[in-house]
Amino acid sequence: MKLAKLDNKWKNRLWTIGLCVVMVISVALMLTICGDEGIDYDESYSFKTARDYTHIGIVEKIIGDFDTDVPLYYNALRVWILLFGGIGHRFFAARLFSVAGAVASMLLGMTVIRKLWGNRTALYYMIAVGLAPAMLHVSINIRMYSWTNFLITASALLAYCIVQNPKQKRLWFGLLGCTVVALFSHYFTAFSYLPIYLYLLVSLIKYERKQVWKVLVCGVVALVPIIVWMMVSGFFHFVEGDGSDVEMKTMSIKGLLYYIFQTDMKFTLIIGVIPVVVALLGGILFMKNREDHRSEKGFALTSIVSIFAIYLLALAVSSFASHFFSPRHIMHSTAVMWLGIAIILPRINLQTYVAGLAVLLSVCYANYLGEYELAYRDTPYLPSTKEFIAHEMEPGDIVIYTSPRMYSTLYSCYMPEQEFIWLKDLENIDALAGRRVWFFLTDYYSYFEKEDIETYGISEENMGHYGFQIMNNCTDFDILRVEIRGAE
Amino acid sequence: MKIVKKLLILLVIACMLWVWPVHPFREVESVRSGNEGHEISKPLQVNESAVQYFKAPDNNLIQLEFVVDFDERYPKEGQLYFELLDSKGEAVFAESMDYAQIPDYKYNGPVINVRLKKGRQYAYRITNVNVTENMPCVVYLVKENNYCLKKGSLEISGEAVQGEFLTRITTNKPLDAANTLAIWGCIGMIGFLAYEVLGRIEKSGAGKSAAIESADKAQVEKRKEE
Repeated sequence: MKLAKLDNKWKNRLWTIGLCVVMVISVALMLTICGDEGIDYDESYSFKTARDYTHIGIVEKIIGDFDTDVPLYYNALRVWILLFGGIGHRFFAARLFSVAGAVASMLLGMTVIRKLWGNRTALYYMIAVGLAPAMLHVSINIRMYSWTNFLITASALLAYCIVQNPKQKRLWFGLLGCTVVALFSHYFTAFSYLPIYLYLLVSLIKYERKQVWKVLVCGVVALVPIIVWMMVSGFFHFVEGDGSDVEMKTMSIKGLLYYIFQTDMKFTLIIGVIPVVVALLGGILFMKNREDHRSEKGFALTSIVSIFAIYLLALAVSSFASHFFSPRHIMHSTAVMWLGIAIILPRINLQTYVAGLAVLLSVCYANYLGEYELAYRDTPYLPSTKEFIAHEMEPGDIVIYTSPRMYSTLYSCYMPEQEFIWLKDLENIDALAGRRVWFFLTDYYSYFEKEDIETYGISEENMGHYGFQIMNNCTDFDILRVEIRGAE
Repeated sequence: MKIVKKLLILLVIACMLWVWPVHPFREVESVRSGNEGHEISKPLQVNESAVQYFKAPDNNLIQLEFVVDFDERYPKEGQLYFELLDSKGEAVFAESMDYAQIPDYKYNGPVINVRLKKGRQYAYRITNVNVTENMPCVVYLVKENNYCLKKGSLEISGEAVQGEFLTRITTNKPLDAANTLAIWGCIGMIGFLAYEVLGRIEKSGAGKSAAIESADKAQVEKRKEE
């Protein structure tokens, strides 16, 4: 008996070491990608908003941008940059903030999930949350998605714990707090909360009807501030800030699946979907609630299904409301989906679990290689461009550009001391006479009019081909040194 | 039911073996020489040839393309002869190419579709059969990096040249280890799930028959008592 106890103790220690190793490897792999200095437009928006505005300024900017965004992530990122901004290259600290979100999610695996469902579930969940497609991407992307995934997973776990013990006040307050923070980090998390609260409601009706009112109170209290915010920020707008019509986008379920599962592998979609289907079937056929665990089966199945239910809901909403329907907007429940799979697979049988783990590991391996290549392949011009800016440009220089107007946000992340003017916004060319002016020439059909060249005596010298990264084929350009003599 | 379960396991194993080492799934992959550091040779005279040695990057070679240069302004006619040679110098594949159809400074070459032995030494040879005017020049790469034909060497008109004939090789390569493992895992997941289903059916069947047997026994005993 003593020997058996000792064995279990050692087994447990070995599992702890194993899970720690998974955590360390995942973080190390994330950091290798964090070294990349190429950012996309959305990342530049996050970085610039957090860096250039005060906390109140962030709130005002987001309302002013007429965008359906929420401010909390930017406030948190600002605090993080103020604390750790000195580490690494200019975007490194901001990337670390997203890595911290992924680490928080993995810590849930090492602690709560391990305690509730055991080592195997924790192992599978941690690998998936750290390195699976979409998850690895958001872990290094300067956006809020790694944190929203953490908050949604934490909320789901809290809901599960509440079902087990509905009288514990701290669980309810925890859920309320997580809900409010998540809603103010990204508005689409509201969709993720719908299945969580629905699960909570149904389970409590089944097991402890007297506590049902708490679900309603908690939901309403969390919703009130976000509804107020939506009204203030004009969430349901039908025109853009510049008066143009909002483009109603839509997305196929295939698009969502590619976002969640895509790697460079052959049959990538089938390889991604099979574990989901097997887990769903396994859950329906074999899973039974343990004696002391209420609604365990319901929780696991809801976790897997929720992201697809959210997709349908978002599809319906996007058909009449503003704002863009893109896979990353509805990916907040991805970690929860992996959790559901991680709960069910070990409960089918050991062989299925091992096979599932093999699939996951190989997908993660391919995903990491792809993500690494994508990060460093897309920034071929960056070192030479940085060198050019350092040696040739001066603070206060004017940069005229022809790529999409919003790209000044991206450029100014790399060049905070220069002033950017979109060519079509340039009304008074004469005012630039005698100043140091540069032109980012993305295509040879967009330059000054022939008339203007003659009137204002414009001449240029091509300094070579540069760029920050390839994005929609228009962030690489020829840099022209422009001389404007002015109208005579 | 036990036989069905054994057959299922055999099926899973057979499927896995089919994925590897049989390799029914393959991916087309092209590798080509780099973009910088090109040189152009002297024109290949009649009966002269350029030979590029290379190690087979994979087993299934689909296409092998090369780049030649000539003066586009002048007409061209005649034949070039393409040969793929094995390590003994014997032709594995050969095709006569109409010189008029070959574009200037662009990858072009015959579709081959032959099986090679990965890692073995091979060579391809382009011979000027009867082009007497506007003769082809070999375009080759002198940069040390970006070689697509690893450890290959080049001979132009019988002379060794430091460089690589601009080459694009298209192969039909089998899936890599990670992809194979992922497909194996998927087969395993489906197989073991089905195995579990069969196990449960077997159990419930055994449970039912045991229940019927015990009910029968009880009835018999009751009758005896009566």
